[in-house]
Amino acid sequence: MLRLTLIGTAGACALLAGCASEGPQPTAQLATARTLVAQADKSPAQRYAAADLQRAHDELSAAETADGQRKFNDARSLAESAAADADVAVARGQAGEAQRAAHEVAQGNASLRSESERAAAASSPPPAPAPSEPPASQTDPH
Amino acid sequence: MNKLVAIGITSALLAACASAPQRSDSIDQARTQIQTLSADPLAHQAAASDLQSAQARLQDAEAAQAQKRPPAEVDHFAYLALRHAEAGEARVEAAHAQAEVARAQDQRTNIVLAARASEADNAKAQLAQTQQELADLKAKQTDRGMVVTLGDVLFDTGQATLKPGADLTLDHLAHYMRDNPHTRILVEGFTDSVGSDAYNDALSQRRADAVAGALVRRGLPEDAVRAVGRGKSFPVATNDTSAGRQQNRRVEIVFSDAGGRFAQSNDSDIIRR
Repeated sequence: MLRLTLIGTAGACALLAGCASEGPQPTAQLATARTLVAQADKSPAQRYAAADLQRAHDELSAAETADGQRKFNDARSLAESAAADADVAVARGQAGEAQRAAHEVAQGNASLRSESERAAAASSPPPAPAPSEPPASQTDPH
Repeated sequence: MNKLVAIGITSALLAACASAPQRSDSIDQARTQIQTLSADPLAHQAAASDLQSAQARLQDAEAAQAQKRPPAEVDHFAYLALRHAEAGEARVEAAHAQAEVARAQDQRTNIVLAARASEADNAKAQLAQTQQELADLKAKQTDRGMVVTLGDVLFDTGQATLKPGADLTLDHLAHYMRDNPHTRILVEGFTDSVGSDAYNDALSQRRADAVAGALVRRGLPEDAVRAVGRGKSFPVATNDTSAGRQQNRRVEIVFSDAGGRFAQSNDSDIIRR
């Protein structure tokens, strides 16, 4: 917020002071930002980094608006921020997904371990009866 | 780049309107984040390009600050540096988690192997116990399967009531059957040749029934045991001497295999299931 305000202030200052010198149209920066935001939309970012993703969307649309108004410096700066934020969203989505997987495997191991301990306890043979002489089993079978 | 050039051309003008004091909070924040990231050894593999971008944007921010660019511009570069470093940190976290998954999968393999080894040990112990129990019963391996012979001292002459001396053997048998729940037994009664066929058939049947009943009372399922009287057929010794006749008066217990199948099942009216 502060940063956007500062950009706005700087823009206003530039316009008021008559020192506005717009750079070229940031076509490449906008294209990069669009690509990265679209990638983030397709990634697990929504689940793990919703705020970053939302921020990237907001900045991209602000960049498009500024571009339409030929405020190319603002548009460039916003597009760069959108790209960086979309990349953060993607990376945090990957981290969240990997941590979820690690948690699942660890949980699976824990239940597998207790399961096999239970099985071992259940199937271990009871103590054998004391060997003793059956009273009568002396004849051979036919 | 173009931006920098454009900014360079108009730097004097911009400096005039950027009268804010030199602030470096955003730069400090980015620098701290980058230092944290590069302190992690994994960062140089998992997040090398993030680290590089972050450092490049930090230099841009520092240069902008040194050239007394508007704070918004300094902050913009510092923000990009910070975000690259944060993306890198997330990639490092992902790499740590992936390494954890790999370790856990190794552990899983070990758990499964240990469980199998323990199962095998148990099966071995079970088999040894079964063999010990059969040895205790003095079971003999015959072509009909394992056979335990109970001599006629278990019964009074002409009677089919089990004497208390049979208890221990019957306890062993019942115990063995509990440990081998799929095994079935055939209880066969035999007599010597004294008396009529009808008398001996009936006596041998009653003796076989007495043994089967005693086992069922010890917990054997009724369908696991079948009793049959064989009368004076199949003597194992001569009927001409009293010692031989005593050997012929007997009850034999034939065991199925662990799956409930008997070695010789052609005698279908007896071993009909």
